[in-house]
Amino acid sequence: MWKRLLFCGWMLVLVAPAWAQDAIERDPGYVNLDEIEGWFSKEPKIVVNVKGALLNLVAEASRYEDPELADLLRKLKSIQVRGFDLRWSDFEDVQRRATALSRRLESRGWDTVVRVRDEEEYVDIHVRVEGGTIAGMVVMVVSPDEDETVFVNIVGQIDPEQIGRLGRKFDIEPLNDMTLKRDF
Amino acid sequence: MRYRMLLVVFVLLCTTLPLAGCFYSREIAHTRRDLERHYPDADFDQKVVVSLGPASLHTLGWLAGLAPEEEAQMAHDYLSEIDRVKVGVYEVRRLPDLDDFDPPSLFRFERDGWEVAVKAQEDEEIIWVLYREQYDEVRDIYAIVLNDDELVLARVQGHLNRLLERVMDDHYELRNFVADLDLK
Repeated sequence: MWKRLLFCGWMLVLVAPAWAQDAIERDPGYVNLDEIEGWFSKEPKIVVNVKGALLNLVAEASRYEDPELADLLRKLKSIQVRGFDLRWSDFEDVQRRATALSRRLESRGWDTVVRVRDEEEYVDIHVRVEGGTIAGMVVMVVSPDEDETVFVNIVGQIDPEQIGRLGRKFDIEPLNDMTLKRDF
Repeated sequence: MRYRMLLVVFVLLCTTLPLAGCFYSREIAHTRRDLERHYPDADFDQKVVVSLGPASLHTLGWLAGLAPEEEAQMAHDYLSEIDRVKVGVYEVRRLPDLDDFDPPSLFRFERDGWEVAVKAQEDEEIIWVLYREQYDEVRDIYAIVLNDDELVLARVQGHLNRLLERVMDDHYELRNFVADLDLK
């Protein structure tokens, strides 16, 4: 009996970290941004992967300087960012792939809340609503301007009005001045 | 007088013997060698390599604890949360193409379960921050900074969430204390 209990306990200790790792990937608000790296010939210039204890650390660091931001971060589970340099010659191809990703997200129950298409810029913002609150957000900004092609996935309870604050904290230029109203 | 001399020698021996061999970090030097092996275009020349292990940090903490000043007591508390600090600064003799520079792909980092928290690449500088967590706490941070002049490798091990909480609490208390003084 004790041997069995000990065995079960030991298995739990071994399996728990792997399970915790998977937990965020099974979250409805999570999108794996690694596939996007394959769209570009060069490695991303900006990579941010902040989750779990590291996210708590960032929230803690903001506790007194910016308590509102700290509260915002505490409600999040993960922040992923990929930023690339984009050549004009690749603009059309990346737009096409981003459109395919947008369609895939919509077919999985994500809502499109912002869509901008012009000659120099492609912007899509999707949110995933679960039980009346936002559980995830995907921001795609594709532009051949410098530092302007950025993909962001935020998992957790996001206040869309605070999205610019996150942009300033993590130095994501296209998000800096972004404000979304809550009533979508 | 003779007894006092003996006491001083005894204290010096007690404090320096546990520190012998602590100050040079083989791990930092190995990482630099791995980088040079992996990127044959790279050539780095050692400027400083420092490692402070538990013995040296506890000794420093103990010495700080002896001082009556509040700041010294804080330093004592902070040092108790840090297990190890390793820093290496190398002069860059020859630099690889920064676009290909990807330290997390080194076997050393993959094998040991490091995760990328942040990568930021400007024109002439690249910064990688890797981390590992254990029991919902960030226990290890590894920063790699490479530019035309220097390669900096720095690793901090300890209870980093707890450390930051302490720093933030003290910072807040000190700030309130100073604000009270100003009012009076």
